Parts: sequence; structure tokens; C-alpha cells
Amino acid sequence: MSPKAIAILLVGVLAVAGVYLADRLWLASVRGQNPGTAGETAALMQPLPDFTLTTREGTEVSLSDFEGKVLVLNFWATWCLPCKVEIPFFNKTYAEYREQGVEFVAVSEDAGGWSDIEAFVQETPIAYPVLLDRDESAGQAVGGLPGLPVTVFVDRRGRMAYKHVGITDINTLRTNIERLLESSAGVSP
Amino acid sequence: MRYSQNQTTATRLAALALGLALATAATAQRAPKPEDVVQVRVEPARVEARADGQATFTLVATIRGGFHVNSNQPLQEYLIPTRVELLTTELFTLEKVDYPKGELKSFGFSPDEKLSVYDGTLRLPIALRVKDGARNPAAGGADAGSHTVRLAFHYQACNDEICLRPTKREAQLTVRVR
Repeated sequence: MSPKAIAILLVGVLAVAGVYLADRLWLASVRGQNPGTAGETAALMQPLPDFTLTTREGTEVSLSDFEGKVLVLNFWATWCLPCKVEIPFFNKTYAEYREQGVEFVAVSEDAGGWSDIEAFVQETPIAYPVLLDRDESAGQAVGGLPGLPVTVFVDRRGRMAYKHVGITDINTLRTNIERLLESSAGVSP
Repeated sequence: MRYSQNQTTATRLAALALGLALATAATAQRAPKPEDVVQVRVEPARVEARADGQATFTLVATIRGGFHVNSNQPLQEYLIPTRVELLTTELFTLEKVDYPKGELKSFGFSPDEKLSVYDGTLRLPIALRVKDGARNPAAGGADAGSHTVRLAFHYQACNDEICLRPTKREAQLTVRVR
């Protein structure tokens, strides 16, 4: 290969590297270390700002209400089929861990509100509380939702420990919950 | 000797370029913004309404590789159908949109369930109808001439792992009314 060809190749490589690094830096600046790619789980340990969700009856529920508990937040919507597919995994895992003080919340991102949600849950029962993120503040608090579903695992100190973008499975749920239960064994529930 | 050194350098650089290309490709896999998944255009961009007041054209939607949108008649009632909306309603009505039949496919998140979807390039023949006041200059001649018509393509996209929020893309064309 001639020196000229090497120089051209080098310029090309540097250009690609520049684009890649700029992209990574931009991602880091706007999203912290949150995953934006489907199928990723990121270990974060980021303190979460408090946010408020509403029940069907209009009662407000805040993140701070769950302080001292391991919390699994599953962001979903009725129009999201992968979200529907994973609901049975959440029901099963909730039944396994609720006695150990693990709370689950289904955070709906449905713009249509409760009329959409109620019809859906009649067909696909959800065993844990369903709350509405009416102003999308919960989604923003966890660093944004690049798509749905997104599952966030919160430790007993209210920190976002893991964030999983995309459909999850029962093993991922169990593994992350077990890690949080073990790591916070000394923290009072 | 020099040739051999150059060859080694070139091989290393090629390996580096390959690594970076793979890393870049991995980056490109992250979820795009919902509005970046579909591009829309109208063909032709200028049409003339016929004597009976009908104007026809085709809306072309190009769906990003790896993603699909629900068809106009999804099999599951809770899924959001793809639809076209006429935004310029003062002078025109949306007479007909020929939505193609969706392709029945199953995806990794639900291999046993079929969905009616569109992917790739979608061509939707559309007919507009000029309202009477616009098409007959004698009845209100100010509306005769060229008009910009805006349309919205509503969709909700998913890939094998995630679904993006429902959104829309707009397109426009010029309709000449005689």
C-alpha cells in the first residue's frame, strides 16, 4: 500500500473516530450513563429526583412514599405489545418478592389516560399498582424513555440502581432484585 | 522492507477502522426519535384538480430499517393504526386513502402472535375533493388558484425490542384549482 493510500485511510479512520467520539460525548452529556439501546441494562446508582404519579381515583403517589423499599418501576403503555408480553413476568416476580418488601409499580405513559388503561387491564390483569405518568415527569426523572418498555430498579435509598431499556425477562428481573436485596441488607426497610 | 512496514501499518489501520465501524454501527442501533423513523413525501408535489373537483396523488412513507408501524387495521384493538389526516380542511376534504393490507408478521417479543404491519416503503394513493366554493370561481372565485395542502401521517413504530411513542410526520403538496 502506497504512503498516499495510507494517508487517505488514516484520514478516513480519524473522521470515523471523530464522529463516534462526538456521538458518545453527546450521549453522555444529555443522558448521563443511561442506556439508549434496546436490550441494555445499565448499572447506575443515581439519586432520583422525587416525582408524583396518580392513581385511578386521583390520589397522588410519590417516589418518596417508597423510601426504604426496593422498587421496580415498569414504564409501559397500552399500545406497546412488548410491554404487554412482559406483564406476566412482572406479575410472577411480584408474587415471589412482595413478602420481602419489594414494591412494583406499572407506570403508564398512555396519553389517553385511564380510559385506555382500564380497557387494557381487563384483558391483561396487572397484579401490582398501576399509576399514570400524566405529565411524563417520571419518565424524565429516570433520564428519559427512549422507547417502551423501560424498567427501573430503585434501591432502598431511592437511587436508580439499574435501568433496562426494552423487553425484559424473568431472569433479569430476579437477578436485579436479588442484587438490590443483598446490597441493601443492612438498610432498614 | 519499507513495503513490509507499510503493509503492517495498513493492516493495523484497517483493523482499527473495522473496529470503529462496528462501534459506530452499534451506536446507530440505539433508539431513534419517533419522528425520525418515518420519512414522508408526496408524488407528484404539484397536482391539478380535475373538472369534477377531485385531485389525486400518492403519499410515500419510508420506514426505517428494523422498524415497523401498525397497518391501518391492526389485528389487536389496543394498537394504534397508521392513518392519514388532512390538515388543510378549509378548501378540501379527504375523499379516499387506499391503505394497503398489512403484512402479517410475528416479532421476537411475541413469536406466536401475528401483527398486521407495514415496513419498508409504503405507497398510499390519496384522493382529495375540492369543496364547492373553491372549485367554482363563480361561487367564490377567490379560492381558484394554487393552494398548499398539508397532510399528517400518523404512526406508532416498534422494532424487535421497543416501541416508540405515537407521532406524526407532515407532508405538503400544491393543488391547483381552476
